[in-house]
Amino acid sequence: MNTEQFLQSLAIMGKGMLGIFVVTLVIILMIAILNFATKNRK
Amino acid sequence: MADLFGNLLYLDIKQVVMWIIGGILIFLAIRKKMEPALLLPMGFGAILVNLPNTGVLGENGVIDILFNSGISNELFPLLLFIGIGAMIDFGPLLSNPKLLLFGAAAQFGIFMTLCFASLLGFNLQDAASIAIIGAADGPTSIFVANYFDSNYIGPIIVAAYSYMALVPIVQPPVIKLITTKKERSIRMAYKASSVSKTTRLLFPVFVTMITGLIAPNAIALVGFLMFGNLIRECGVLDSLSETAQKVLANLITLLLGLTVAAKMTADAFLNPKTLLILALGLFAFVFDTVGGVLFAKIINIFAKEKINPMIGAAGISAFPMSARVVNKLGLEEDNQNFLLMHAIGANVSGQIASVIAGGLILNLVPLA
Repeated sequence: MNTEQFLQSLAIMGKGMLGIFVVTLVIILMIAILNFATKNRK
Repeated sequence: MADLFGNLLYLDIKQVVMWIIGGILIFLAIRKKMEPALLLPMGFGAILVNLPNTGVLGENGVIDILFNSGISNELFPLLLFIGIGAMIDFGPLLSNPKLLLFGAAAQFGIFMTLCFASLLGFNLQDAASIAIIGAADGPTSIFVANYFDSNYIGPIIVAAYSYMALVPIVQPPVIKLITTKKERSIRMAYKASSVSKTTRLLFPVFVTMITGLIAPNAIALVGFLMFGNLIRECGVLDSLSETAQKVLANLITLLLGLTVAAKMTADAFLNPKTLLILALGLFAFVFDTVGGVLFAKIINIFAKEKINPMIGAAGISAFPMSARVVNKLGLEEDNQNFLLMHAIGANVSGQIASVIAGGLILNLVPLA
């Protein structure tokens, strides 16, 4: 077992899950703004 | 006679085993209807590349030529993404964008598998390539495994497509294990709301820009997916949209399945690590489901209007199998509990999230 590599993969997991939620939240915000800005044009 | 049958002397028992594996893939495709568009060409390809002295592999071999022109330069999976983007209706997601969070949570299995695979001795690049099986998205798996030049691309692709087809078998026991009957019976009101044409048009453009700025390595994957979706939604390229959805997607799928067989030679495929990779793929799917369901349960602690936690399980990218599974489980507990529209929204979210997860893996894992 390569401990150093495992620790590196844990760090990637942390950054990856954080990254995916950050991107997701930005996209949700963008959709909300788009929906709000265009709500009278449906 | 020696001239006619001399080639038989070069036959290896391992190649015969690969014929059997190829036969099993063809059987699963035809009799069980498991991802037939992929498994059938792959099964046939597995037989093709394991015949001795045929010359289909090697510098001038047709399969290697196809591999070098379509997979090693990542062209086929990206072109396939245009077709997939043109097939997806993001409407359910755009009318309820919160569902995107479930798509994000259900990528948990990818990162758990990355850790577990590296614990089992795979180097980071191979661990990442194996982990991406959990994206439940064939082209993303091919793209990532090829980016890291993984030695295990054959088993990874077999696992990715097989488990996608096995979602109705894999997910229900996991969901039932981590939810109560009461939770599975939670009803969710569906408020149909229309989405403006402007939102539908700007969504693919903005998602491409956001992803490109935050996770630049994901841009090829996300960009081609969103380009396909823009063709669909623009309303002036109907014939192109139809071509992307049908002709392009079918043609690439046909070539992809056959070409992937380049990595299904007996020497590359038949080793104990193949079984380990298949097991890790299952692990990834299980933890994707667990991640999505647990995330919904956490939200329920704070939410006034409770969410059926099974919706979280639909956050994986296997569309529309996962949404159907969730809807079916909901109806099993309460025959008036229709979760399909919510589940479809989460499922579509999973398609975006899995591609973003693939891009993040490319960003975070260093090349060897």
